[in-house]
Amino acid sequence: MSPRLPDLPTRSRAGLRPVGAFFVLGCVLAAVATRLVHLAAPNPAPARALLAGDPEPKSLPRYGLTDRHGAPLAISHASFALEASPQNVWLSHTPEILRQRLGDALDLEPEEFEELFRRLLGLGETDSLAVTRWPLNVHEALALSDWLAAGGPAAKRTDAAHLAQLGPLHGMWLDPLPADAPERKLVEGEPGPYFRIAWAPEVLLSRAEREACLPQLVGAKNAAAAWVRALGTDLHPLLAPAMAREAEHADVCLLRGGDPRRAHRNHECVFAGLQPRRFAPLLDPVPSAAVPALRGIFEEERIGPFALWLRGSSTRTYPAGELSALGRWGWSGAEGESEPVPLPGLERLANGELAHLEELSGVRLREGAAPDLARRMLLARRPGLQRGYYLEHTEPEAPATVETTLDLELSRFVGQRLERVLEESEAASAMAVVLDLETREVLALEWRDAYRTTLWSPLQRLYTPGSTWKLVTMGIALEHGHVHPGEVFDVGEGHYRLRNEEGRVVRVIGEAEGFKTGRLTAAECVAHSSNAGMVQIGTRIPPEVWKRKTKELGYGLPAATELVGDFYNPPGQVGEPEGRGGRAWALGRSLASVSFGDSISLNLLQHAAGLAALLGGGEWRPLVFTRAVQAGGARHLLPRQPGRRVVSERTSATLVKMAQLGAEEGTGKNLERPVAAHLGTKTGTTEKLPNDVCSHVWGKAYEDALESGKSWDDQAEYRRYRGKWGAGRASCYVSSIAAFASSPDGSKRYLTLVVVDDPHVKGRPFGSRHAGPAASDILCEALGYTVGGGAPLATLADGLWPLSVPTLNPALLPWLESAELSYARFADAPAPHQNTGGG
Amino acid sequence: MRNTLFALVCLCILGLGLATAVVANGNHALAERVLRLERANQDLVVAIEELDARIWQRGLELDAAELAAEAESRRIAEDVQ
Repeated sequence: MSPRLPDLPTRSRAGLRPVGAFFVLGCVLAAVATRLVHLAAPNPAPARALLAGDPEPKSLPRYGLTDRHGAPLAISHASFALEASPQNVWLSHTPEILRQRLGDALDLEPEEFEELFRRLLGLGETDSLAVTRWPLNVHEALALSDWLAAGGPAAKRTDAAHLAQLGPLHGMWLDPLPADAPERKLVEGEPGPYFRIAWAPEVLLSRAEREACLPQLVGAKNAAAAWVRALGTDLHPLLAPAMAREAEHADVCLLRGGDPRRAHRNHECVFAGLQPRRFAPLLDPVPSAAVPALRGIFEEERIGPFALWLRGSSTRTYPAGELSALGRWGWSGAEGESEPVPLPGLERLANGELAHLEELSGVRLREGAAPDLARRMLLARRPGLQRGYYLEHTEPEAPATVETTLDLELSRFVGQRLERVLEESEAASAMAVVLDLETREVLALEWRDAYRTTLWSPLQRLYTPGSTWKLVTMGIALEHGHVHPGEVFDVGEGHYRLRNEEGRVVRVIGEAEGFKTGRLTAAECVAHSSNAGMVQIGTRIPPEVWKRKTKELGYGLPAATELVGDFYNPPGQVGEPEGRGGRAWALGRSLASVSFGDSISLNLLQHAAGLAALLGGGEWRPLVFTRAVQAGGARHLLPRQPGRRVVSERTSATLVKMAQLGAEEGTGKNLERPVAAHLGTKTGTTEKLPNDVCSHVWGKAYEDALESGKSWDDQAEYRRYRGKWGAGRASCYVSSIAAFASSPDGSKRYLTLVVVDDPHVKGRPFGSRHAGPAASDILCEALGYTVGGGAPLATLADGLWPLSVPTLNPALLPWLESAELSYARFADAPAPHQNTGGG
Repeated sequence: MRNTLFALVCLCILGLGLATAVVANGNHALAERVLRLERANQDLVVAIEELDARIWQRGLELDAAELAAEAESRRIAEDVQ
């Protein structure tokens, strides 16, 4: 039976007095638990609030680019970026002290440092900051004006004797509110006129102003913070009506802060309006030598990690110099704050390929240690958490390296050779591409412009190919059986009259470079670049075949889209555009013009890929710029896109022989070449039409527009400058050449296409004169006949002097086959038959 | 007896709590040292990578200069001949 309640003892039998002990024990446990929770809290509340306003750090990618031999073309290395929150910095620091200390640590040029410090002060174009959040009506402005005149914070905090000596507060004043100010909405209906507060941080926050106003702050600890607190606390009641208006018009309140829940921190609320900037990128990259000094400043000046900090970033360098083909990284908006964007070039191509591989494999290839570095630093600099922990950890990994097909030495040579062309020919621009006819790998892609431009020329600069197109005409005609290499054509005496079926002359075709007269075989028409001959051949091809085959060769379609992405990539056009009245492909119009390379617009890479298809076996394949990706210690070959057959191998071989004939006795006969190279050439010289513009005139106008910053309307400027060739000139020209050759052992066959726009030097503008020597030099260099433009030095063995071998002079190399015997001549081709049609 | 036992238990719990706090503080001190080391390590990594990029740049510049000088001397030699 259980005891009754009154019988139960009111005290413990053992005489325990547990309340006190439990209390002590409870306190200890609570203290321990609180400390443990505090330690484990990953993100204290103030840090969360501050983090919310920080923009995501943007860094350039970390992957590298190398040339085909492993020489680095682009490297990203870890670096630090110095960033700040002006609002947080100036809540508790003095401008002149930071100016002095940061200036000493960073060792920048005076102008550069001044610009950096202006960003740290949160200044824009002017030397003062305007408070846009709190426009004042006339009564509020008068109250504030009285406070300023009375010495600001000194009025409440100092004695009358001091106030009598003290003038008005410096560094803060009232400006009339402009009529078009967006914040005018906030004061509508209030008694005017309206004012807004303006202040100069370097004056108001200076030590001199602070100590003159509040002498008790001289030598005080945290004097800067106390000064800002005094300013803010006094200003808060003066600005309270304006803050209330701002809260009512939440839709026009563009900036953060003024949260009524934080009213107990009034001075911070006021300062958020005075200095709204919470992020300012100051310097990226910070020289590594300056990092220890900066860390010292942070520690000594007790600069909080949310005021001024070093962020892990990456810096992209191009150790081999900025090759034209590489492109570079830009930003979608302000540098460091917006998205990094690869601009046209190999950078964009490699980034796209790596992004695709990342999607497939789920492995990070474009980033390396840098993001990890940033995260660790972020954890280490949280306020309220004196010591940092790594809450998560990822092993740093090396970013991928993309192996491109470019040859660095060759690219440099091509660049230098084009500079020479530009100088010697007084041209507006010169472009060149070198590619392997077997693999379609691009070994060099360079261009030089006499005028400043923003174009990625190999794709964005369209030109008319002229006679280099005759290989296309001949290729299509041969493939479809419209002509035989030995067929003979009457090319007239320099002016060929193209007649229609009724015998009426529909067009007179003129000749250009060193034209031949009389009767020529089809092969000789190509070799000697006879317009009359090619018109007779080209007009046999039906327009539908022209359109289909040129599309198959990539003309009229955007080329190498992976290199430019969404950027401007004009597809060009073959023949006149439809819709200009009449039949665009009539005999006397596009059909005739296209046959000899007129009425066509294309870009360098389109034409290089098209010619490579015709001269490299008959199969069109996209040009290749990347070979492999090295990641995780392994080398992964990149897949190649399949090609499509456009002409037969036999047609291709015939075109090769025709071009070799052109180099031997046609328009390329004067070019120097090594005997073993079996050079083949097709030159082109295109006279610009009255509707075209001279690249010198255009380039100069565009350069002026870029420098002056005035707006530029392509079409209006085109109308303005077309047909204007410059002083004393009858016309302007594009000179070009397509040339190919073999290596000494015959294992490699390279094609180069060199285009020189508007050579202005006196003399004939022929392709063989301006572009030809450069093409020959480039091929010799690419195939190893020369090194650095001279004869290669052969090293016999270690310790022996190198020996110069003059390969370019066949007379000095009697063991080589003589020039006459080394070519396959068309004279030996099967018997030609007479041409009876075509006019 | 019971009082003694209870007091002992209380003391043990108190001791455990204090020990936990001491260990946690020690842990913090260690973490701080690790963090400083890690930061120094990061500074070094950055400096080394920056140096590496400069070395590549200088090396490639020297390569180019050497080739240019070679070509120039060859041209001079040809002119002399």
